[in-house]
Amino acid sequence: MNMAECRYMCRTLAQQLTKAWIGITLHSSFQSAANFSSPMGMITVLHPGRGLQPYSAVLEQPFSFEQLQDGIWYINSEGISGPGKRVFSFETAQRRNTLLDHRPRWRQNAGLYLLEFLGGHRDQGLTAMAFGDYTDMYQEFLAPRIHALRSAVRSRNEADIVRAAQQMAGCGIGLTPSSDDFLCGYLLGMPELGIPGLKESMAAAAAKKTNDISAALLTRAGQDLFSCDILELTVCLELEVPQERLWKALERVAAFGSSSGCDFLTGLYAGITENNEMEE
Amino acid sequence: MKRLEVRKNAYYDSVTLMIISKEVKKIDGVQEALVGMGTDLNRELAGRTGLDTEGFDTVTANDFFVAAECDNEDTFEKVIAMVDEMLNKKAAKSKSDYFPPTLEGALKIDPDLNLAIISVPGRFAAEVAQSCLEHDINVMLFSDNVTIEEEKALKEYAYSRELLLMGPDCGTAIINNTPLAFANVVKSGDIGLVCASGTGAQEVSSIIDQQGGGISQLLGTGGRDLKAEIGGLMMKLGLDALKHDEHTRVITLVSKPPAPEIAEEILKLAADTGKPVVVCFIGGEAAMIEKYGLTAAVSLEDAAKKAVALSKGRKPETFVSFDIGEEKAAELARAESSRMKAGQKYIRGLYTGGTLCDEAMKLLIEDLGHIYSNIPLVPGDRLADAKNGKAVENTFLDFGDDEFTVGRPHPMIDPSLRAERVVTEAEDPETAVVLVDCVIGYGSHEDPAQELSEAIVKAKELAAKDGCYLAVVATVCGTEGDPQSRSATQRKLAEAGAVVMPSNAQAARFAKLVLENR
Amino acid sequence: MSKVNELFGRKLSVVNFGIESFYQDQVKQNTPAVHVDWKPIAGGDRKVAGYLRQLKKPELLEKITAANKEALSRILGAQPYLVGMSTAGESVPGMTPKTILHAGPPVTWENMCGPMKGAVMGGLIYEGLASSLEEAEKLAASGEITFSPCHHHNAVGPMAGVVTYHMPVWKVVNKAFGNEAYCTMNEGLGKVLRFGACDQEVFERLRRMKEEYYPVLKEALALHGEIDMKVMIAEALQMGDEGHNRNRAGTSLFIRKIMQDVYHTSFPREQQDAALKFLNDNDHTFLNLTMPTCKSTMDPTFDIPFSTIVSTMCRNGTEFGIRVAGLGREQWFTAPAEYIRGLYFPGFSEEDANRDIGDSCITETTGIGGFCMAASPAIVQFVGGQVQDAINYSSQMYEITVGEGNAYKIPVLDFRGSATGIDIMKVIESGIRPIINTGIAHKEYGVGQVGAGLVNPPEDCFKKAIAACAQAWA
Repeated sequence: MNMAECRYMCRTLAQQLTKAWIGITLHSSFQSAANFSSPMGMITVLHPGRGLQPYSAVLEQPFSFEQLQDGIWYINSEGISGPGKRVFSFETAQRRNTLLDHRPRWRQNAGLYLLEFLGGHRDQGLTAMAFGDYTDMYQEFLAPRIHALRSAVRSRNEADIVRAAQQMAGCGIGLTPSSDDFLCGYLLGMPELGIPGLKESMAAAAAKKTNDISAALLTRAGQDLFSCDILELTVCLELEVPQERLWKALERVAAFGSSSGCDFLTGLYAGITENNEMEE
Repeated sequence: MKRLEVRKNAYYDSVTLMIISKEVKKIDGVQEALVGMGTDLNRELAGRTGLDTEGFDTVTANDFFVAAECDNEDTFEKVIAMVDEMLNKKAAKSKSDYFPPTLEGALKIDPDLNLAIISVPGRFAAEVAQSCLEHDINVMLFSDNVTIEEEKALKEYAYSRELLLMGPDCGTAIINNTPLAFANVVKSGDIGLVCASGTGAQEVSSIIDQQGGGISQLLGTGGRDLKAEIGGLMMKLGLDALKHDEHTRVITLVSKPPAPEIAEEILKLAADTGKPVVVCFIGGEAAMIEKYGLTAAVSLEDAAKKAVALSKGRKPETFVSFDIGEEKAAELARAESSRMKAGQKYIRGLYTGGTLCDEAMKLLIEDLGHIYSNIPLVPGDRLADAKNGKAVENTFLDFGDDEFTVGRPHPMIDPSLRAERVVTEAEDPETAVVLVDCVIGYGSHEDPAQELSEAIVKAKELAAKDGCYLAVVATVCGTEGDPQSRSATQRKLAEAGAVVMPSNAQAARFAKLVLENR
Repeated sequence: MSKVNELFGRKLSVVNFGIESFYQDQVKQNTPAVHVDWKPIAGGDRKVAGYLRQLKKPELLEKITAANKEALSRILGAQPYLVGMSTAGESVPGMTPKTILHAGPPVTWENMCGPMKGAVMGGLIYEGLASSLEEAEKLAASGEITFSPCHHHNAVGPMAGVVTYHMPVWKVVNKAFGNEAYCTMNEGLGKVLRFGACDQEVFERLRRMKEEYYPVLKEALALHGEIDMKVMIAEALQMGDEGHNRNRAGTSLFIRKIMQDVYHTSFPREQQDAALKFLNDNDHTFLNLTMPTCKSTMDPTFDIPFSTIVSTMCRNGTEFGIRVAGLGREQWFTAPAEYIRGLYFPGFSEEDANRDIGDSCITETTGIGGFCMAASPAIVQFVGGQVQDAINYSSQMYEITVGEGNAYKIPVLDFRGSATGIDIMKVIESGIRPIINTGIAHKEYGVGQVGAGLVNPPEDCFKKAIAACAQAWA
């Protein structure tokens, strides 16, 4: 197995690593990604061309992840190593930000733009719900739970919010069930309610109810960590950027997984509308 | 009955899971199915849809499950088999990726091998082909630079053992509806072809497909088969096979005009098949063909249309017109030429397919007098340095000829050299029409229209700078079923400003129409 | 109905030579297809391809096939037994007090590599023929010493393979053919003579081997009686050894076999303990038993006219040499030995490596070692690779052998017998060279082993051999 260089890596992850080796285990591998379980949570190595996620690194060259063996691996600031051999190198990786370091102030028509875009993807995942439609059993099943979450948020009741978040996690096909992607989007979009640590508690509660990989994404979202593509979209929904750039950012997010991207956007739309309704 | 299948701690990518979810529901006898990770909510959902079965309480959020309500045990077994197939697709593929070093090694993996595609360098090709024939394996010999002595020896051996030796330099064949090397995805049908030319075979088979016909078999022979030295051995063997093939009801032969004595022999055999036969000796005389009661074609397109007519029980009629009609074509040609500057008067044919280039020249030679080329119709019209030199008057270039392919892939695989030339010709103020082909299908570049259309846009801009208007006439050889898709390819070229004609013959005729208006 | 019509009626099954995308297109269409990793015979060397063609002429090929079948049956029919110990002087044929045997094909003092020179000088000091390195060097260069390959004396030696008159040797007899093979005792890892180390530590160990351990082991073996080596090696292969680079299982099996006998010898308890400890502290003890076993297995293949089977592969640190069954013991086909691709111990790198050295690849010649790598997942990481690589290496070797082992089997390949009987014609035709799994010696004498990895015999050895076959028989 040749050593593979990483082109980008998550800055938050890089900041946690030193020269000291930390033992990690291979959690799962796919055609274009591999996940490692670590004391810092899930760490992901991605194929070139895939968007950088929190706690991940993106490779310079294609790599066959299926060849990775189960068992103990090690990570430090220089890379990830197997028995006696470095497999992924961070040495030349560009550190990139994955932390949303401010409270987003959504531009005037952010919600409308999202709705317009989702209109073109109504058949994907939970998208129909943004239009008040329930077209399959998953959506039907989720509708009252999402309603419960939104009511709890509007009434600013911390215990209710956390419970509602937990009760909607882990529903849908996909590796990351649709409702989890929705929740990640909602966490990004929802207003600041002035309850300290609220998003983290919501994410932590939901993470308990879903699989490890989806739980990792939820936990990161609760800590304001999002993929670069989502951060770019956030910028586009805050500032008056040219339409083209916004559309491109939306397209990139929508392309996640099979329906994950659209589920995320549907959740984001729900979260953003909360701002408007609560301001009134 | 309700059944459940669980894979502990198993993670599959979402796209796979989504496909499984869709496919499972399509299986006959499955009323309802749920596929996903065993989170509380998914399990609860299963309960609500009535799919909760025994064992569901042990499923965890990190397990993958399939729950289904189906008619019987067999149906559920089908579900599981389908799920396994979807999940294992990748693993199985990597297993078969062991590449043995020799034919003996390959036969150990699959003792039923019955067709070899050989594209090793020419000087080694005969030896490889011979060893395949010795193992009763039919051969498609793509390699060129095989000597005629080697070809003769191989074909005599193959003929004696009733095996195919298609080639050398055979790029196209469709056996049992499987396109081999450079070939198109055509519908299955009752027209059997034996072709001595690669792109000729692609053009005829693609147009048959477009015309609603279908192919039983398409056999290649290699370009030299009908020379006196070889004596048409493979054409004869192919004809005989099609004669005895119950799925073949119409036969079509495509070749450059053969040596007369060979032609007589072949035509006689063709007549003896007792099946309707269309013969296209590109640029050859019709009389000899008709003498044997066979149908002669004036172009590749005409051959295809006649074969389809015969296959559908219609009377074959010679086609020398335009699908859009003569009038519309004339109008379009006038629109193109009206924008040209004085002094723009020549056609530059830039081809990736050798036979297509040859056919176009033959269709135009009477009107143009001389066509300069690297594959000229008469020796006097040979260009001294086709690759680096300038075009002379009406010039047609075959970019697949040796001169252009030394040290680089065939232009159907790497279309860049031809695309560059499109731009170069636009710089010549005497160029009126650039005539191009675009061959798609298996073997070809995954999107040959991309580079070509970019070149067309650039060429047109260049010409416009000098106040000229460059007409680009293009034809796409291929079918809707091809990986690149004929219509998508046509659209790309049309959007770049090319006039896209449905066949090579029509493209050539249209180029002539444009010139006539000058 | 012609065969072409038969083809029309059957499912297409495609074999592809050359452009790989033609194969990929068939795979996309779900047509059964095999891609041949075709290479021109002998890398396009037409002369060599011509020799191969000459040998493949039907009449000659028939003789060659029959001869190789005979060679294979002799290899599979071997009955190698460990029968006892002696000193080299007592039993190795042609041994004199001033003879030094070395690994690989013949080589002169001037052309010897660093580690072999070190081992030779060490050997001279050990024999008391010189008292310092300077003296030893002078003596070695003087012409007074006879240098000869182990292989010319029914012997084999790992790495430098130096055997001198007073060294103790294991004796193996192939009872099916009555031939013998000898090998010294393995010294262990670290600073050892076979890697060219020659200081006091080395001499002290050699002295104790001779004076303390050898008498005990010799008597123990005599008490125990002969040991069937084939069975023991076969068992070691089931326990994770591959027979060349990993010898842990074999060493354990051997100790279990003779432990009681050691304690039944007439020597003091401390000496018995020390002898057993010496065997036990060294994972490679068994290598020096496997090697003469293989040597005794392969030697009977000589003198089968027309056989193209490789009877010997070995290297002296400068050159790689092979001998071919049908061409006899006297003809060596040599070419510069290659460098080993592998992993280095901490602190060493490729710059420190000597060329491939030692007689140990007699194991691969017999169908174990690298040919059985799939049997030894544990060795895989040591030589830098993946388990799948090991399986691929072992699987690939079937392309160049005439048969499969009947005793040496690979569990992970469903107990398939290992690839056995390397055929130079197949090597030339497929372009696949035998895979050897071996240690890396430091290029300077006295340093020792610096890593381990994989290496192949140079292609030229096979080209020269096939030319000689064609000239002799065609």
